Amino acid sequence: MPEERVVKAGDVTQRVGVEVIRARGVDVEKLIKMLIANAAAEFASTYYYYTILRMHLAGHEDYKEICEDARLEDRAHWELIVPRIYELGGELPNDLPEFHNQAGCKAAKLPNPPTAENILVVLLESERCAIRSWIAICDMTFGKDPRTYDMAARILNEEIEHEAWFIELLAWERDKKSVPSGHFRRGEPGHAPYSKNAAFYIGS
Amino acid sequence: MCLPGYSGQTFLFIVNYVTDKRDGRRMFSVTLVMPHEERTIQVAEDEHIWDAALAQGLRLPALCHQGWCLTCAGRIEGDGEVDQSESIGFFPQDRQAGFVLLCTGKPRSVLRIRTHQAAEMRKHRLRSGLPAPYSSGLEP
Repeated sequence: MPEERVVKAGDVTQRVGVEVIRARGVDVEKLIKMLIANAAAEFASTYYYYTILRMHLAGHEDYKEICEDARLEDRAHWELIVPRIYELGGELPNDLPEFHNQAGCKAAKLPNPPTAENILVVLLESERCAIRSWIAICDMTFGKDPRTYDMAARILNEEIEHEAWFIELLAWERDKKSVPSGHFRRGEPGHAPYSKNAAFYIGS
Repeated sequence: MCLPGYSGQTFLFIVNYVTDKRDGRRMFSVTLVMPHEERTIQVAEDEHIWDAALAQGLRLPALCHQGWCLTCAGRIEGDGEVDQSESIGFFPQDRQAGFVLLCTGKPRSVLRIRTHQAAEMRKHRLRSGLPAPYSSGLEP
């Protein structure tokens, strides 16, 4: 394990919050790049394109509502990741196409034809990629960087729920099979109970 | 091997695939050149190379399993063909440069592939102006 560099009093060029996790074995530069790739996936690959996907779910208002929850929760993830990138000493690319092109997951573009079944396949596979991307951050930070780990685990919780939702909807839409997800209605669209540290159940 | 009338000459027969006796699928020998080991595995024509490697005891890098993130990238050594039609982000320039995405690539010939090429493939993508995802398999 590398020796922890001591940050001198008044030094604003280094961060104790970075040095302590580096000393515990986190490759901070690599972590920053992975967080930017995941931020790009949340914002550019999913939040943006889910906005389009939900517009094409007319006549499937239940699917649309679930898609809307996933869309807004992915936006919440983006909002959660960005401060951590800067805290670690990183920054977002000052160029949107460059940012988009390093996303760890493919853009969830409107399929052709944009049937409900095809849209649900896109949604499901996007969530699966997100799960794999966030568990990689969990693996990298577990026991070394509690702050990033906590954030990644919160996001992962919601991505796992999203996958279950879309499995349920796709199984019904495509196969006419019931594969329950365990879904309870969110308190409000984009509730994001894990990533916003909100109550799990909001009801009267 | 010497054939009648051709003594002294060497003939090299390249067997491009062998038929799997179990279900008639074509099987290809795929040699994986890894950082500390070289192994040859058998991969069916309808099987992803990464999956076949895992089934034969080799866990190669991978993340998205969709043929996008580059974590599983390899590079063909010599000639060979891989079907990347199931990869969601694979470009003609990648094929020209010999790169493959093992998680979603299916063999179409005998292959020799150098694994752990994510960083090299990302550099190639950046040089080519193509999407260059960053993932856990890449060096900083």
